[in-house]
Amino acid sequence: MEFVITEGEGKSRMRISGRLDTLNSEKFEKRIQELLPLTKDLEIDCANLEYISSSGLRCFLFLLKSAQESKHTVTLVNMTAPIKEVFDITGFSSMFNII
Amino acid sequence: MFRSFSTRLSVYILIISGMVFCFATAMFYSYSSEREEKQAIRYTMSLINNMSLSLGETLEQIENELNYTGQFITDSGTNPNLPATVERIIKNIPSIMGSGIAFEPYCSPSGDEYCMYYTNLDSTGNAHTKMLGGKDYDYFEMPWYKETIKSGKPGWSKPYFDKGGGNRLMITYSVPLRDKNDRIYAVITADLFLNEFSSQLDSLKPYNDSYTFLLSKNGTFLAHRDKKLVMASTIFSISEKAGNTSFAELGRKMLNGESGTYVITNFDGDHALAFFTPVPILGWSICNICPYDTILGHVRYTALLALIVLMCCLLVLSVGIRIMVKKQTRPLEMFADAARKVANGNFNEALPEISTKDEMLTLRDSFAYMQKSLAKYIEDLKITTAENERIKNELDISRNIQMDMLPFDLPEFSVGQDVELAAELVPAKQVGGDLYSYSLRDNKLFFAIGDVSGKSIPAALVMAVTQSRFSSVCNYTDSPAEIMNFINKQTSDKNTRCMFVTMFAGVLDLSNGKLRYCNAGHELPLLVTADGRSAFVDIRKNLPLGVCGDFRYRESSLVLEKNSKIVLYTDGVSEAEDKKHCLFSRDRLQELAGRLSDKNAKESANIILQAVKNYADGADQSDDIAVMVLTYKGDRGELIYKDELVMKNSADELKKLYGFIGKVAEKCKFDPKLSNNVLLAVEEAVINIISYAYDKNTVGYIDISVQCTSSVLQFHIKDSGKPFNPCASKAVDTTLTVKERPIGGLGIFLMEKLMDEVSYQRTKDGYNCLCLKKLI
Repeated sequence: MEFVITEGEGKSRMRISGRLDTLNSEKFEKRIQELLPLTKDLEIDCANLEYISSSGLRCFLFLLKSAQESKHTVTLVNMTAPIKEVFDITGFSSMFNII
Repeated sequence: MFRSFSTRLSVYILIISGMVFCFATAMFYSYSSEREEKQAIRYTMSLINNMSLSLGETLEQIENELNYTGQFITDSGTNPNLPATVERIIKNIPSIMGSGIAFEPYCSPSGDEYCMYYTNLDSTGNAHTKMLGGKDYDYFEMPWYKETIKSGKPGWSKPYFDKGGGNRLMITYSVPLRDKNDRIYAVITADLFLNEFSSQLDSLKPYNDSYTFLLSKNGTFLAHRDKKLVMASTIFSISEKAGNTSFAELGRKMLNGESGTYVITNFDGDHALAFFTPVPILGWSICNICPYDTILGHVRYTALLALIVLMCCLLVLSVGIRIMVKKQTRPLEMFADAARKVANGNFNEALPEISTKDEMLTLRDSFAYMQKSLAKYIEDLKITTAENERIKNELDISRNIQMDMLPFDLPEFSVGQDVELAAELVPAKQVGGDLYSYSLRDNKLFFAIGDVSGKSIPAALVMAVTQSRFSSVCNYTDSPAEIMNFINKQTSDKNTRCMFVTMFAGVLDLSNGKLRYCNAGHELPLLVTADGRSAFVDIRKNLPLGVCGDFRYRESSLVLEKNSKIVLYTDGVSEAEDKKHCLFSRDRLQELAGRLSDKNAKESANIILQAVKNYADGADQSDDIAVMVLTYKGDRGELIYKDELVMKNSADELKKLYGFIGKVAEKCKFDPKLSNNVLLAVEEAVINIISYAYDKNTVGYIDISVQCTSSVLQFHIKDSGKPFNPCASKAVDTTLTVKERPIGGLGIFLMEKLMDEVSYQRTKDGYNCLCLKKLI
């Protein structure tokens, strides 16, 4: 899994590629925790996210909770169908702003 | 003997009357006999006292006369006319029979050795004087002479027989005559015959049977009605001879000079009263003996007479009482008759008329009241019976209606070649609370089995409405959980009686054999495989319907294998009782279900019902019984691929799993979406096992085997960790807000969502077995 982060004026964009599963979800979470205080609005590009497990979903939920607490926004873009299905099943689609 | 009340009453009255009469008679007898005895004593004592006094007077007269004559002779000096003097004595004293003068030897005027002038009276009352004395009549040796000479004083002789003189039993009073020198020269005597006394004594008879006797100073009988005793026996000798001490005691009292009465026992054994008194001068005693029988004879006779009169009275009384009591108790017999007729159903039977205002009238009133109450009661009973009959008929009709509510194409239901369904229902009463239903829509079989709390009509009403709700809701949703939510909501509203329904509802997709089901507190269903293994489907539990309107039901799913069966039942089966109240039990049912694999649905249902019936063996069916059997007959296609992976319980090993799943997807030609979903589900399963079945530092293995046919992909994931059932986890509520949603729990949720069956079993040899199936 790889992250590419580009930061702008109070706005960050993260590009995730590969698998987000139990093995690397911790790494992802750590990265988010570093990133969150620095950015007001976070956009995550999921175009290359191939696979997400419940551990990954957990990270996304954590991210969203933290963002809402500090009045930041999280936007998910370019989500592929398999990932979208998982988000739909778990009800995450209704919580996240998915474009 | 005294069966009749009137007889008994009469007898009791007679017995009491008899006792009172007898007591009165006894009192009368006692009082009268005492009085009679007193009177007898008074009368007899006065008689013998008079006798004694008269005897004493006679003796005194004799003494005075002789003493005077003796003095006269002495005073007159020489030779008075002695025979004339003696004659005068006899004439002066009529009671003496003879008198005489006996001279000392050679002192008589004639100068003879023996000289005695003796004068006595003949039967005509003329006096004859004769001379006595000589060898043939040696008066010197006679007691009356000898003792007087010896004592020199006048005195009475003892009683004696005078041979020659009087030839009788007599006593003699003798007075010595003295000359100028005070020498006794003659004795003057007067004889008194005791016969005189005897006749007097014999005439002393206060009572016919009484007799009198005279005792001398030493107890010798001087007079007695038995002449042989006179001078021959003493009172002591006869009492000793007869062994009769009471006579001896009487004798002692008499010789002591006492006067009075004494109770003796006669020689014939009867009691008698002895009246006695002494005779003055001689120390004798007179006694009169009178038997009590004689004294009390009159009283006894009177008492006997009284007794006879009383007996006659009793006889008359008995007849009177009998008639009276019979008359008084006659209404009782009539009441008994009337009661018997009332008992036979004739409530209008006339009662005897009672004119008296007594207990009989009260009895009649009570009887009349009872008659009236009975009539009313029977009338009520008729109405109640008719009402019950009507209710029973209505119940029978209700039963038919209830049976008609069940799907009408009973008992068998079969759709093409894919599924067989059979159901049976046996209510414990006419109507019951068990229900089942099924219907077909869009190639899906909707079915349910349920049990309403309670029995009979209340349960039947709830059953009817539940049945109807199920049928209608099946038209709108394919989700068993939604079906349950709907029925639960409806049942909970206005559920003032707190009725609830346990229900198992399933939706079987006939196209692929996927069974979605939801269990609302019902008995666990049995899953029977084609090879005869039977197991309870351990599914997540939900509340029974009607308990909580807001409860959200959760469903589960199964993928049925070919020829596997689902056996559904109500607690009327598992809790059927035999005569000893032992339960049929789930274990017995499970064992029985295992033998049904080669039977069709209808046969299976009947076998179960028959087994329950046999088990109960005539014991009352305590609960409604419902059984439903469903057999899936859809073909699962040929095996395409089979493989196995063994990995350690470490996240680092997950890469092996990714490779394994990738290979499966490739071999079975899965599209990317399917392979992604399968991987996600299996990975979540394995991660949960690693996290929860094993402790952190324990090393264990996880065995994953895969099988894929043309229609089903299935994974069996086995581990040796502690028991862990992923299916028992809490539901994830996807409608919550970000803030409300907990982090975690998503893995199992995803797994269930992505797979068509997630089922868990803890094997007996200690493994967790998780089965994941996906229809392809």
